[in-house]
Amino acid sequence: MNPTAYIGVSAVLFAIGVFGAIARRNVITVLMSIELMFNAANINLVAVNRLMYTASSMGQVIALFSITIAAAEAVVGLALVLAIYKKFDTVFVENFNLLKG
Amino acid sequence: MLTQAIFAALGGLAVICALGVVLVRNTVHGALLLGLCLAAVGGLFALLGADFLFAAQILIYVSAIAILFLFVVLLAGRRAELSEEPFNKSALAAAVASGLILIVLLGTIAQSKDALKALADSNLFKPTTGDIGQAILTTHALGMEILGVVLLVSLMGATLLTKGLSDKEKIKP
Amino acid sequence: MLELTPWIFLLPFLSFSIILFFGRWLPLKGAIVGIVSISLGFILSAALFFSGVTGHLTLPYLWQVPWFSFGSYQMTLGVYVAGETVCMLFVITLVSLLVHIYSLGYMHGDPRFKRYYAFLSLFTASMLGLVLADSLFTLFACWELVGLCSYFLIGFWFEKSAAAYAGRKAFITTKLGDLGFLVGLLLLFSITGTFSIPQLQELAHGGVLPVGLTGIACLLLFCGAMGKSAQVPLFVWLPDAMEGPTPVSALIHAATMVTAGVFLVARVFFLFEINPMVLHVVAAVGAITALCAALMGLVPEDIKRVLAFSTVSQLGYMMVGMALGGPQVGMFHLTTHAMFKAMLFLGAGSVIHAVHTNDIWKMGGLRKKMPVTFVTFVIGVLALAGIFPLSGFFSKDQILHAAIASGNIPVFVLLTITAGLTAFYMSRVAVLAFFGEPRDHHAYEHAHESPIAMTLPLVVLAVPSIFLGAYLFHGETFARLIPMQLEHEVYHVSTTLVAVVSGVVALAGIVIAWLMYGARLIDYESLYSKFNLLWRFLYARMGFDGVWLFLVEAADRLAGFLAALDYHVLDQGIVDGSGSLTVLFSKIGRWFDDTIVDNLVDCWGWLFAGGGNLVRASVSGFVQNYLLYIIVGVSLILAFRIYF
Repeated sequence: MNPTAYIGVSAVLFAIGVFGAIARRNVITVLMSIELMFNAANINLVAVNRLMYTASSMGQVIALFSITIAAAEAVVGLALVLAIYKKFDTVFVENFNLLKG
Repeated sequence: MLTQAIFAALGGLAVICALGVVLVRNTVHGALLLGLCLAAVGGLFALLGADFLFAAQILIYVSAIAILFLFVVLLAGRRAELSEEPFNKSALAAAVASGLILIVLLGTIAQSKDALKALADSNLFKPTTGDIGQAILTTHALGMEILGVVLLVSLMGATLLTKGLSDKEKIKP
Repeated sequence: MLELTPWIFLLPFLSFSIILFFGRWLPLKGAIVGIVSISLGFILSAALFFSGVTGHLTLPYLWQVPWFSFGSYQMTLGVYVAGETVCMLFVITLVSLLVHIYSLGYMHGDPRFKRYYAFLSLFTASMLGLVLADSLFTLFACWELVGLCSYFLIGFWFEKSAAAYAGRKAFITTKLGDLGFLVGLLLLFSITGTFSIPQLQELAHGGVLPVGLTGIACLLLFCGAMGKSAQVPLFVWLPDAMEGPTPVSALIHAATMVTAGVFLVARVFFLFEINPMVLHVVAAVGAITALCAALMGLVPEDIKRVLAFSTVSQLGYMMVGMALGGPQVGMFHLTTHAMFKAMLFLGAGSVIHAVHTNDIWKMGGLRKKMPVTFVTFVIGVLALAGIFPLSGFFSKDQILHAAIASGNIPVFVLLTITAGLTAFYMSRVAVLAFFGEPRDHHAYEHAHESPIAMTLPLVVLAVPSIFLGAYLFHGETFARLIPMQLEHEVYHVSTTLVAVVSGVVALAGIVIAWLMYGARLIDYESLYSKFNLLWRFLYARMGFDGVWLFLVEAADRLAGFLAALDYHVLDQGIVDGSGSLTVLFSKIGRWFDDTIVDNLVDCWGWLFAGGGNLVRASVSGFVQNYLLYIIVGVSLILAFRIYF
C-alpha cells in the first residue's frame, strides 16, 4: 500500500470539493461540497495513520472527531437552509446578500 | 494486487461520484451521488483496515447525513430550478482556484514522495476498535465530552431553527 | 619784500568775503574795503616791478606749504614768483585799482553795487592767484575761478536777456578750451609726475621729457589759452561779452582775464620750447586771429564791439610774439596793451555814460563837450596803432621784427596788414565819435564830461600809455625782468627798417580813415554797397557763431538720441524687459507648480482612492467569493512554502 495514492485521492477529492463550494449556486450543493472536503481530510488522516504510524491510533481518533463535527455542522447548516428557504423562498446563494458592503 | 485493484475501483468511484455531486444540475441526483461517494470513502477506510471508522462512516455519513441532505433537497427544491443555471459567475475562477490548490497539494506530495513510505510490517488487519475506545475514554476524554456538548447544542439549534415560520413572516426574494 | 607776495592774493580774497557779508553796513557799500586792499596790493606790486626792471630783485622766488597728498605725490600750496608774474601783478593791480575807482562813478546808484564790488574783488583775487600759483593745479583752479567771475560780471545786468546769454556763452566757450587744458594737464602729469612749475622747469631743462607727448600736452594746454585769450575759433564769446558794464570790460577784456592765456604760455614756455611744432602752431593761430579780428573790427557800429575785436586782434599779436620772439616779446606787448586798451575801454565807458548809447553813428563832435575823454582816447588810438614814440610802437615792432627775423614771412605780412587795419578802424571810431557834426542832437545836448572818478583813471592810464613802452625798451629794462628770448636770426633785418614799414602802414590807415569818415572825400556809402556781401560776412563775424551753434545743436541732438536710447533700450528694453521675463518665468513656474506638481500629489490620492474602490468591489457580500479568496491565498502561501 502506497500512502501516496491515498493522499493523491484525498487531494483530488478536496479540489473537487473546493470547486463545488465556490462555483455552485444552490446552497445545498455547497454544503455537500463541504462534506466532500471533510471526507478528503479524513482519508488523509486515516491513510497516514494506518500505513505509516501503526503504533498509534491518533489519526483515527481525529478522523472520528472530524466525522462528528461534520455531522453536527451539516445538521446546523441544513437547518439554516430550511429556515432561510422558509423566509426568503430561495436556495440560491447570490440572493443571500444582506451583508453586502 | 487485489488490494490495489479494489483501491483503484473504490478511489475512482469516489472521485467520479464527487464530480457528479458538483456538476449535475439536479440536486437530488447530487445528494444521491453524495451518498454513494461517502460509501466509497467508507470502503477505502475498510481497505485500510480501519474497521471502526468504516462502520462509523457508513452509519453516520451515509445513513444519516446523506439522507438528511436528500430530505432537505426534497423539502427545499423546486421543479423550476432544473432550468436554472447551476454555476454562478465565478465558476471559472473557482475552477482556477481548485486547479491551483490541486497543483499545490500534488506538488507537496511529489516533493515528499521519499518520506511517504509505508512501514514494512504494517498489519492492516489488526482490529482498532479497542485502541480507539481506549483513546477516547482515557486520553481524549475531554474531547469526547466536548463533542457530546457540541452534538447537543447542534441538536438544539437545529430544532430551534426549523421551528417554522408563519406565512406572514415569509419574505419574497 | 618777496615774502609778502602771498598777501597780494589774500587781501582781495578777504575783501571779497568782507564785502559780501558785511558790505551793507560799510561806507560806500564796501567799495572802500576793495579799494584799500587793491591799493595795498598795487603798492607792493609796483615796488616789485620797479625793483625788478632795475635789477634789484632776485628771482625766481618760491614759497610752498604741503597741502595734501595722493599716492606718492605731495600737492603743495604756494607762490612761485618769476619775471612774468611780477609783470602781471603790476598790470592786474593797477588796472583793477583804477577800475575800482572808475566804477564808483560809473556804477553809482546801481541796486547791486555791493555785489559788483564783491565780484570785482573776487576776480582780482583769482587772477592774482593764477599768476602767483606755484603748481599747475592751483593755476587751473584759479583759472576756473576767473572764468566763473567773468560769468558773474558779464551777466551782471541779468535782467537783460542778452547779458545773461553773453555770460553763459563766455563761460561755456571758455569751458570748451578748459577741457583741452584739463586733458593736457593730466597728460603732463602722467608724463612728468608733477604739477609743480619749478619742478617742471627742471625736468624740461634736463632734457628728459619725451618730445612728442610733451608737444601734445602743450597743444592741449594751448587749447585752454585759446579759450581764455579769445583766439580763433574760440573768440566768439568776447564780442558778446560787451553786454557787461564797461569797467568790467576794461578790467577783464583788456588787461586781465584775456591775458591769462598769454601768461600761461609764458609760464610754461620751457615746455612749449621742447617741440618746435607747437610754437609754429601758436604763431599760426595768433596770426590768423590777428587778421580775422581786425577784419571783423572794420564794420561794427557799437564802440565797445570794435574795441573787443581790437583786443582779440592784439591777443593774436601777443601769441605770435610769444611763439616767435619768446616770453619777453609777448609779455612786453601784453603790458603796454593792457595800459592803453584799459584806457580806451574806460574812455568808451565815459562816452557811453555821457550820450547813453553805444552806437558811434549816433555820436559826433564830442571833442568839444568831453575834452579829457577826447584827449585820452586819441592817445589810446595812437598807441594802439603803434605810432612812435608811444608805447604800442615799441612792443608791436618787436613782434614784427621777431616775425621777420625768424624767417616767417607769411606771418610778417599778415601782421603788417593787420597793423594797417588796426590803425584804420580805431581812427574810424575816433573820427566818428569825436569829430564832425553831432548826428544825434538830443544826445549831444545832454552830453557832458564825466565826473572826476571816471576821468582820473583815464589820465592816470595815459601816462604809461605814452611812456611805458619807451621806458621798458631802453637799455635792458624789461629784459632784466624777463630775460628769456628766442634767438632766430634767419634774416638779418634792422629794427629801423621794420619800424619804418610799420609806421608807414599805420599812418596810411589813419589817413584813409580820416578821408573816409572825417573829410568825406572817399564815399564810404558807395563802398559799403559795392562790397555788401563782404560787409555782411564781416558783420556776421565770419560765421563762426553759426558754426558753434550748429555744433551745439548737433550735440544736443546726440544727447537727445542717447537719452532716448537709454530710455527705450536700456530702461524699457533691458530693465523692464528682464522684469517682464522674470514675470514670464514666474508664470511658467506657477503653471508648473499648479499643473504638474499639484497633480503629482493628487495622483497618489486618486491612486489610493481608486485602489480602495477596487478593493471595495471585492467586498461583495458573497461568501463564496470570500472562500475563493481564501483558497487562492492559501494555495499561494503553500506554493511559496513548498517551492521556495
